[in-house]
Amino acid sequence: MPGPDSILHLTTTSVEWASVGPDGLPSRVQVPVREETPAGVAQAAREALDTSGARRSAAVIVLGTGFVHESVLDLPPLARREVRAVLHRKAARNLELPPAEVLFASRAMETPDALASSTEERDGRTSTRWQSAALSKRSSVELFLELRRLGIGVKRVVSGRFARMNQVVGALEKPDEPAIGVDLGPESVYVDVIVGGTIVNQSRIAGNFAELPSIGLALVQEVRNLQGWWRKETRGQSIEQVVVLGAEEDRAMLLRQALGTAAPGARLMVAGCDDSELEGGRLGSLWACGARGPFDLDLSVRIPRRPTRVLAALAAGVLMGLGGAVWLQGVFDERLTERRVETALLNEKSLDLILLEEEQLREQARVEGFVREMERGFAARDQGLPFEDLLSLSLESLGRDAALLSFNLVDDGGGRATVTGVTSNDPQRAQQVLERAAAHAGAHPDVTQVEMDPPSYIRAGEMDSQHHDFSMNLVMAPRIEEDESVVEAPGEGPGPEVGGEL
Amino acid sequence: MKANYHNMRGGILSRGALLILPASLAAISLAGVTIQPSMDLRALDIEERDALQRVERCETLRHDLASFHGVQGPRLADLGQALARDLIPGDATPLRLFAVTRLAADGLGLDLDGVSPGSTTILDLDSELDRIVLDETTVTGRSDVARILAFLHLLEDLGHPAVVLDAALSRSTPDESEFDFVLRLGFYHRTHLPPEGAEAGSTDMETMP
Repeated sequence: MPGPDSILHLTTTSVEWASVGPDGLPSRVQVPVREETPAGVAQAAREALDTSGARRSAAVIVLGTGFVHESVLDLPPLARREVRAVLHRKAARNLELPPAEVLFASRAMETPDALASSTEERDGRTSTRWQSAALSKRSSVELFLELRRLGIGVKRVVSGRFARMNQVVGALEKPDEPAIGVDLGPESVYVDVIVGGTIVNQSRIAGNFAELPSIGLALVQEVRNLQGWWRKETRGQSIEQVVVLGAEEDRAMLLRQALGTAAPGARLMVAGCDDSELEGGRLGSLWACGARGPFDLDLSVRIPRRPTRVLAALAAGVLMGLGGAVWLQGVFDERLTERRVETALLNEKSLDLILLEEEQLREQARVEGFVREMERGFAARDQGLPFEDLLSLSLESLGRDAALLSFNLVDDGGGRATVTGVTSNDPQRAQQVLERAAAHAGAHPDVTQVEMDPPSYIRAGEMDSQHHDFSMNLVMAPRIEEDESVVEAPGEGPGPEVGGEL
Repeated sequence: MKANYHNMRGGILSRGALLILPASLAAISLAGVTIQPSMDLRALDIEERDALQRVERCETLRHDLASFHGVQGPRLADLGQALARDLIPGDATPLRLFAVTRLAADGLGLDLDGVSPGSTTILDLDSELDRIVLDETTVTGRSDVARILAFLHLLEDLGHPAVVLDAALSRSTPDESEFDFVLRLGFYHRTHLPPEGAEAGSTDMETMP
C-alpha cells in the first residue's frame, strides 16, 4: 500500500525511486549506479527522478547497503558516558574507520519478559540490547550535499532494514507478542524474531530469493530453527505470527504454504498474497520503508547550510528587525509625545506651588505668633499665688459665725494658706461652724487639702470662753499646665482631703 | 534502560539556527529600539506622578488659604497677637513701679508703711523680640480686705499687673476692721533682649523656669 511519502532508496549499486504519480498510480524506477561514489549515487538518483517524471518534492531517504551498517549489540551495564563511547567505538569497528569519521545512532531495546529470566540465568547479569546504525561521515555528508545540489529534499533519513521492521510490527495483530519477520531483499533474506520493539534474534541468508530456489528451502529451515530456539528459551512457547515482506505475487502463495509447515498454527501475513493487506514485490518493500514504529532511528546528517539560506535568514532578520523597529519607534514616539504634553500641562498647573507654600508659611507664622503671645501672657500671670481666690474662699467659708484673725499665704508648689480665727465658745455650735467651713472650702474645685485644727474645748467637750480660737490650712493645687496624658473623669478624682479632728 | 545515543546532529542550536538567527537579529533590533523609549516612558511616569502630587498640593493649599482668608484669618490673627501683647506691659523701671504702687495705694486710701523693691527674675518666656521679667516689690501696711484686693486690681488697671508671691494678713481681735498686711508682689513686664553676649556678665538677675 503506497504511503504518503515518496521513497528514495540508496545503495552503492543502485538507486530506487517510489512515488505516486499525478494520476494516482504508484510507480518505481530503479537506476544502477555507474560510479560508486556519493556523486555517482546522486547522479543515479537524479536520473531516477527524471525517468519517473515526478516533481521533486521532499522524500524519505532510505539508506541501504554501502551507506549504513546496521547491528544489534548486547552491552553490560555501563555508565552513560561509557555506553556512548562503546557504541561509537563498535560502530567505527563495523565500518573499519576511525571513530572521528563515523556517525552513529543507537537505541536501547527492552528485554522481553519472556526472555528476561533465561538471559539472566545464562549471563548472570542484566545486559542491554542496542539497535545501532553506523554511517561514514565523509561519504554521508558528500551524498547529502549532492542530493541538495540536485534539488532533492529530505523529509527524513532512515535505515531500510530497520524501517521495514517497523512495517512488520505495524502489520501484527498482537504487536507485543513474538513474531518472525522475513525481509526478502535483492541481495539477502533477513529473518528476525521481534518482540514489541526488540529484536531478540536475527539471521541472514545471502542471495536473491527470486533468483535462487534453494533460498526458499533455507528460509523454511531457518524459520523452523528460530521456532525451536524460541521454544527452548521460553520453555515450550511458540511464535504464532509470521510476516513476510518483499515477496513477489506469483510466489507468495507457495512461500506461504512452505512457511505453514515450518510454523504450524501461526498466523501468516505474506505480502502479495490475496488475503494480505501488504503490497508485495519490491515496490511493497520500498513503501514499507516509509513506516514509522519502534525501530525508528533518525539518520539525518548535518551538512553545511546553504550560504543563500544563511543570507536569506540574515536578511529576514534584518528586515524583521528594521520593520519592527520602525513600527515600534512610531508607537513609542506617539506615546512619548502624549505623555510629555500631559506632564507639561500638569507642571503648568502647579507652577505657583512655591508661592502658595510661602504664603501658607506666612499665615501659619502669623497664627503661631498669636498663640505664642497668648501663652506667654498666661504663663506670666501664672507666676503668682492664688491670693484673691484663697482669701475670698477663707472669708466665705468662715461666714458670719467665725472671724478671721490671720491669713498667711506661702508658695508650697501651689498655694498654702494658713488661716486662724475665733468662733463660738459653745462646743456643739463651734463644731457645726467649723465643719461647714471645712466642707465649703473643700468643695472648691482647685482646693486639694483642707486641715482644720479645732479649739481644744471641742476635743474636751467643755465650755471654755477663753480658748475658742482655731486654725485652718487650705492648699490649692498649683496651676499646672494641662497634661493630656492624665485625665480624670468628672467625679472620680480624689477630691480635697479634709483633715482635722472635727 | 531506555536511552538513545547518536552523534548525527549538532543539537537544537544548529537545527534551528536558520530560525534562531533571524529571530535573534529581530529581537536585538527591537530591544535596541525599545530600551531607550521605555526608559523615557518610565521617567515620564515618575515625572507625571510628581506633577500630579504637586497639583493636588496646590489645590489643597489654595483651598486652605481661601478658607483662612474667608474668615478674616490674617486680620484676626494680627489683632489677637496685638491684644495678647497688651496683656503684658512694656518695659517698667523700678521708679515707675514704686510710683504706681504709691499711686494705687493713695487712691484707695491704703495706709502703706513701706514699699521696697526686690530682685528681678528673668522668666523663661523669651521671644524673638523681647523677654519677660518679674520685678519684686514688698508692700507693707494696714487696710481692710476689700481695699487690699482692690489695690491689686487697681495696679492692673494702671497698666502694671502684679502677681502675689506670698502674703500675710493679721489682726489682734475680730473687732478690728483692718489687717496688718505684708504683700510680696511680682510686677511682670516686657523688656528688651540684651545685645548678643551682653548677658554673660550680668549678675543682678536670676532666671526662673
